[in-house]
Amino acid sequence: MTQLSSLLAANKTASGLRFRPATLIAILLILIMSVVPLFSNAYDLTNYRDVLLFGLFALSLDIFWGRTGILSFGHATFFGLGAYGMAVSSIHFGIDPSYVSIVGLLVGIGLAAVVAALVGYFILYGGVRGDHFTIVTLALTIVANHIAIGWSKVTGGDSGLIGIPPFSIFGFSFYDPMASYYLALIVLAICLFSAIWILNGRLGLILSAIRDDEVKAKTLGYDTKLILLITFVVSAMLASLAGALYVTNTGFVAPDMIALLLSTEVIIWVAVGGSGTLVGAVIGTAIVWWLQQKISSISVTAWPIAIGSFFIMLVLFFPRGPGAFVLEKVKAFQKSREGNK
Amino acid sequence: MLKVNNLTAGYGSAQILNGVSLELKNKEVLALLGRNGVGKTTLLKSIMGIVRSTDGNILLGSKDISKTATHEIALNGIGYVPQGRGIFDKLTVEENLRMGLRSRPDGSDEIPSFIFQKFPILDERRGQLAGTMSGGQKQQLAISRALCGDPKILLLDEPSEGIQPNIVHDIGIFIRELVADRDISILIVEQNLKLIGLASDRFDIMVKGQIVHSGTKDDLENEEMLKEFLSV
Repeated sequence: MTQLSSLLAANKTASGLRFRPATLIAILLILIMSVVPLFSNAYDLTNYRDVLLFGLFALSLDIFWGRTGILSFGHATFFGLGAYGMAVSSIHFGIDPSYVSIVGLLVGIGLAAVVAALVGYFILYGGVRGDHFTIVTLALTIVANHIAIGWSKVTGGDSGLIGIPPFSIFGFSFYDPMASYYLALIVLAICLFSAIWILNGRLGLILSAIRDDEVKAKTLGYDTKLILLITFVVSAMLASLAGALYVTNTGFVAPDMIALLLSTEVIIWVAVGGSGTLVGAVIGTAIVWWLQQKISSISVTAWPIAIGSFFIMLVLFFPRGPGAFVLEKVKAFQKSREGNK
Repeated sequence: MLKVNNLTAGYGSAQILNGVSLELKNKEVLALLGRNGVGKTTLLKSIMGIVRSTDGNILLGSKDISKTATHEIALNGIGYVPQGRGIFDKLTVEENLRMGLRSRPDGSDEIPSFIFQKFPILDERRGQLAGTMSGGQKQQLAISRALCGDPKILLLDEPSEGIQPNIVHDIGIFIRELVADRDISILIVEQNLKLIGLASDRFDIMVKGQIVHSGTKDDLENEEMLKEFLSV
């Protein structure tokens, strides 16, 4: 832990939140999203709010996958743990309504952190990387989904749980679509700018080095297993935060929130925006959501075909996503100019 | 300073090191010679904990580091420049150097100024992507990055590989200056006898995972010995 705290401290002297293209895009995005409610009706606002929370979910995956190069196919597990943690706490614990959301949030995030730490410890310290990591995390989602369906006494089984109250804190309820939208936007903004600040600094540099060659990074004194584990746990906690907030808006939780399809979708959201760009994950989520609305309105069955074809095109032509492709070119141009000075 | 005692190591069932013993003294440059595949690189990897030893031990001072994790070995003061340079291609020159600061005993966040004095090209190209540099510049960067950690011991694996002769000569001079100016010992794996003659105090020759011959740099004139062990 000393290693990580010293790295975060080193961010003061590192590049941190300096005005890179991605940072400017993030500021612009948040500014635009903050005025969207002025031009939207309540129905659209609830949709946009859900997009923001899915964007936070995509950001959580991008923090790990985009920066370490290790693809987790099990991130829906953590989204689902946040969702079920919130739901079970709200419905079964009989907690004072004033505190139920905070307790639910802590339970959901805590559950995700513990599961990520345990699973992450065994696979990352066991040297599992690359495709093997992806397969193990894929299996994790399948197991979690089976538990969500099978442990019906607690989770409600196939039907899930209904009656989750809107998010509230100290008596203030975010029931109103405008309030819940701004809650989602503020949480996303805090997480996005924190991620940009931390990952554009020393820690991001180390993660880039680990992605390049983990053994080389070790020979320079970096405890790469610990750094990867902490990144994985933080990423899982953010996913669970998105899940927990999401179910306070929908009012119900169901096994499809902890399923393989959601794990796949979030990978597509990040890939479309460009893995490793952070803000691209949020933009990618919005683009795919918008495409889904448009294509599904023409034909419901056309959407899975369209998204599958789209994903194949991405993998073939932009393996790290079009957003990452453009940003890499911009960065390479900037660095070549700096190098020539 | 560094003592390797009867070390055995390998990859899976293939044993590469068959009881290697050597000693690196304070402020000395020891060269490790041998034909391809005799275990020179494996020995350096074993010292760094990248390849685990199955028997024997490695003493850094009085501490046995044969079971120590790689990052802790680096933090204990051993710098490593792997074969093929091992720089991070997608990071800039400055970012590569900053990566080397982690193991500094004084915890400083500044790249030591002597690096840029010795290799001015690295200062000029701080913002350039390391992968776009020439082979010689990459080697300078790799050595400099290891030195950013202020190591007590530096392991160099074939620093002359793929580098033009005048830069190899510069590296040899740099190694001598380094040992003269700083409290550092160097273990260098090398096939280039000119570089060995220029940079090292003595040498060990490896054959089939064992040290079979030792000598000083004056012995490099012994053609019979070179022919017997190195086929030169």
